[in-house]
Amino acid sequence: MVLVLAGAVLLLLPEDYTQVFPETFRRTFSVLLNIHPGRSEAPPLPKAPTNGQGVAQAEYERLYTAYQNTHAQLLEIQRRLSALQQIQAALPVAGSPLLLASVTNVILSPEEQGLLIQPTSRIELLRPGQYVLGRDSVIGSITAVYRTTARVRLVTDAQHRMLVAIGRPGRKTLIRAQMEGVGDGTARIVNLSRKEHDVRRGDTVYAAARPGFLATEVLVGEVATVQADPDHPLLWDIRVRPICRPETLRDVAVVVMETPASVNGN
Amino acid sequence: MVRWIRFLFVLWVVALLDAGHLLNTIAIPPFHIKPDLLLVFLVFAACNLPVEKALIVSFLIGFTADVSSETGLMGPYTIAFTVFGAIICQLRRVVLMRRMVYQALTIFVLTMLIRGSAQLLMLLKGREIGPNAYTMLWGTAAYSAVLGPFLWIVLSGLSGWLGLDPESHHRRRSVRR
Repeated sequence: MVLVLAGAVLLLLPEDYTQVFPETFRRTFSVLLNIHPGRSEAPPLPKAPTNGQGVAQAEYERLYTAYQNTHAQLLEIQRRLSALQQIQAALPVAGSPLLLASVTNVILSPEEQGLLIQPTSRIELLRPGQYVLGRDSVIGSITAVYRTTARVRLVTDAQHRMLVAIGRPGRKTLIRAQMEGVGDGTARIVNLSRKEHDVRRGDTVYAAARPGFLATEVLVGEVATVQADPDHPLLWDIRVRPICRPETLRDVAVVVMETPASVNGN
Repeated sequence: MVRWIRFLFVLWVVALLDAGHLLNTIAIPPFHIKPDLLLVFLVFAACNLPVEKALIVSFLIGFTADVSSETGLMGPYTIAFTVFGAIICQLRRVVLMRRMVYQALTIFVLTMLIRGSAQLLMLLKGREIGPNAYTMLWGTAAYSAVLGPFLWIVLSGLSGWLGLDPESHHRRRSVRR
């Protein structure tokens, strides 16, 4: 009876206090816990040109991500230029601060796809909903903040939902859509009309700008497969493969933007 | 004392296997179903120990299950393991665990009950349950039931070393008398 009561006390105590047990376990034995007998197959990333004059693959991937982000920013700026009246109000907050955090645990199961992160400082700035970047692409968002750590739900988690924009080099507009995780390392875009939207394999998927959370579009991944939704033939069934592999991350950055209210000084 | 240290060491190893990526090699796709080793360990320990020790061991295994759980929530497994550890102590008077079929059946039913109750407690604490939770529950119970009797053989081999051998307790008691 006493032991059951002890369990009940553990359950009823605020998570901030009891979180120390799993945190310590994960942190202390992270090396043993992360032993992969056979790492899961890596998603194919764009290949560096092989004409003998290219750069190293790692450098190429970094440049590719930077290029895609710049391209998205360019599209966003062009859209804003066409709406002069709104420029002042809509411009992103200059120099949105990024909070660096170490990855203490990676959870990749069908039930949950997430990270446990520990910021290097100022955890009080974190709050649920903030976007998390891994190697300059959006990998998920914060769902819970504890005393020293925070929980990140990856874009591939079955319970993750986010607004995205689909772009293609040469096309001047972005297609807005809703993306949800599948739980198997990919995400899917739903409710997009086949008649109205031209989406192809290889198109780039960005996290849509969101006031107070993301100033401009940032790369998430690319369209892996496109087919007609078997249940709703008029809609697309689009699978998205994130560009960043969370199991290889050691550090992530959280976008800690000021809210519109605080920007106005309220 | 030495046996408790050995027991805690084995518990730690089982917890690492349960929480780590090593068991992914035998996970069943597409839902990535893995056996619940801590639960098999609980059933074995609770079947072989005197009631008082079985309860303490159930609590320890439950606490370890909470600590190593992916949810990061403390309490649900501690409560479920302790309560059902006590029930197993009563059950062993009725069901003789020497046949593999009985071991498998017991592990299957208890996995369903223990993990099911733990998930209910998580819901009470405001945690969301994944969309494949029921499939995972059935799958884990079935997989643990299939693998359990074989782990039972391994644990039976280690039981004397771990102090989980019922005969050793009877022997010690009779020596004291």
